[in-house]
Amino acid sequence: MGPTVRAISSSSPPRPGEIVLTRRVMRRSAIWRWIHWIDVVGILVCAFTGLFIAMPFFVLNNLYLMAWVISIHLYSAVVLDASVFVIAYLYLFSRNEREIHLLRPTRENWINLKEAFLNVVTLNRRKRFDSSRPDPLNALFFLLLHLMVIVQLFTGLQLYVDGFLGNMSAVGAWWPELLHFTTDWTTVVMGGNVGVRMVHYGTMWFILSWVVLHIYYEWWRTVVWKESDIAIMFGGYKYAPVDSPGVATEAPTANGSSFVGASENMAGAERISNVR
Amino acid sequence: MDRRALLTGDFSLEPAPKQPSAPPINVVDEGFRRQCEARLAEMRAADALPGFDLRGVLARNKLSRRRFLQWSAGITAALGLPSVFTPQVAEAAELLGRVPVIWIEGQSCTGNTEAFLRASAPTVSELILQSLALQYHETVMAGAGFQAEETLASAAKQYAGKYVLVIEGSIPTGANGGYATNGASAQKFVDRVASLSANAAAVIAAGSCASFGGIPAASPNPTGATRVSDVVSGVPVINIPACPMNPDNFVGTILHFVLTGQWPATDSLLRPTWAFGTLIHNSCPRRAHFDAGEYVQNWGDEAAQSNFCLYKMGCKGPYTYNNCPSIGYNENTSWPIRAGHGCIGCSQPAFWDQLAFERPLATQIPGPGIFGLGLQSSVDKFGAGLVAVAGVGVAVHAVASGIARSKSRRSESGGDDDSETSVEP
Repeated sequence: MGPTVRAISSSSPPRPGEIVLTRRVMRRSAIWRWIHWIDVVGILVCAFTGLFIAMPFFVLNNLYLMAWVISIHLYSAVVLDASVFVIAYLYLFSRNEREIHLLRPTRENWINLKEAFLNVVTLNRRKRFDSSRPDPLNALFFLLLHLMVIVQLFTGLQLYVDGFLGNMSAVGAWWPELLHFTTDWTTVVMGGNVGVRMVHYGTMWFILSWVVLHIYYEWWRTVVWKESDIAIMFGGYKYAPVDSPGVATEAPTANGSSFVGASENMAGAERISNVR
Repeated sequence: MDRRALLTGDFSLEPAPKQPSAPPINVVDEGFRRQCEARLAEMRAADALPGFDLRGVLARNKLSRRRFLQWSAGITAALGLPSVFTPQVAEAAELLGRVPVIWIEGQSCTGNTEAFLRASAPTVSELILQSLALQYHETVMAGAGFQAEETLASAAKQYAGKYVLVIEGSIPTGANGGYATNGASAQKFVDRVASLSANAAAVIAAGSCASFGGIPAASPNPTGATRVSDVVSGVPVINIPACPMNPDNFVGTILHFVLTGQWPATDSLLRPTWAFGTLIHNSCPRRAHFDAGEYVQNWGDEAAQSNFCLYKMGCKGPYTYNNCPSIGYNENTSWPIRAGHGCIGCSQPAFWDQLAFERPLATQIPGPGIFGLGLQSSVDKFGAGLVAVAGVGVAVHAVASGIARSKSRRSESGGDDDSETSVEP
């Protein structure tokens, strides 16, 4: 007898030697993958250079070291800030991957959020949501990161303009005036420039904790679900069991999904077999 | 003058091509100069108050006219005025006696008074302060007891609406204001501030204690000490912080008033921007060593002898606004960083809790902050703990997931283990 072939349910793990039918699902377009890896580099560079600025832990004379470290910190911070603006734009206006749909308080989103959460805390004993598509739990988790980066943006620009001489800058007075107008509230809220600095510094630790949790969650999904979630950020595709919700229907966009991109791509999803 | 013009000016050694339409860079605002001269004429016409004789004081202390004009030129530059204003500033200094001053002292060490009284060789600023038209000053006046009280009352009545009230020291509000009293009648200091400031032309908070609460307001602040601007309302308040305040900044602020009839522009912390407009870090003579990554590692090491950057020894210049690097103390004799010690941020709010220690903010210092670890160090410990907790949570979840998976496999394969050698039923 050959191996048994079945289209397994995503909630029942495959047995040894079983052939599982999966399909390839396009999850992230190239722009999102670029943003992701740029942000990975940006966050790590910002954290490392930021720790060095707080306490120069090694000394190399005559290399203009601190000036370079501060410049690199500012360069990567600007890249991070720009990526947040691009992300905000895509959240609101992207044609295919409008993530804001996942953050709206609709009934479906609440159910999916609850089920995705229960999936983690029950250690995958319960999996009653469509893992082939983005879920509100991860969307909320990422919103947290974006908010923290925005905190870094405001506090960081305040610390930056703090060093300007009056309203003079290389590009004209409008730039420090704009920075003062948009970020001076942080000194009032956080207690002077020392308070702003502490918030900027503390938020870095929250972002690093977020990174730890994020890497683990994606690794956990990959290992436990066996759906190659980590591959999304390399090729854009993941693999989902063919009988997962949303596949059997002929018209995937008619299944009440609010996530447009994945549903459209699902219509053209390849059916391939994967021996586990 | 538009100082931005200096950034865009042509510094080439070649003679610049003639541009008849371009405005010249160093234009003196003639309207402003006429305004200042009218103001000085008005002050000159006013009655001189007794007790102020600048020329006599300078002569008695053997300070030449040349020395006085040097000082005037320095103050003119510090105020951000072109050098053609030097004669006007010198005249304003001679007319300072037209401004009555009442100086009261609360919770303080008298350090701001001492700063100009105890110099071995008195400077022009210090002589001017000593010979100001002081109507009441507990440390320097001859009268005492009820006699002094009478002087204060009559001066406050005679010059109502005209005198400048200088407050030295913080104002205790705890115990219903009972922690500090003034004078023979033991009037509560907070009440004295309120009654005298009501009729003042302006209130100058001299030193960090009056400006921001300073050391008396440091944690745990047992006396409920507070700043002048929290008690005084309805009158312009100018803060001249630093511990002690630089006499030049104090005299310059009053000179600005005599010269223009207006109090100088202030920042959000009510400090005159002409004196407190830039970070010490930005005009620090050791800044190049900061950028180059050249730091003093230990007191007295080779780097310290080479005047390298003091950031790692706890210099707080990057957080502190003051003009120490440009005007220094005691007629630019020295200031902390020039003397080889880092800045302790004494002109910033809450400096005693947040800045005044000889280590960078990133190191552990005993002081306020959660867990009593000090400011940034507590953030560090908290943050590293947060990452560790996240890591532990991750590990627990991962192990639990692995156990759950092998359990569910075992139950699906009928209690058998899940190795590949198992025989299918």
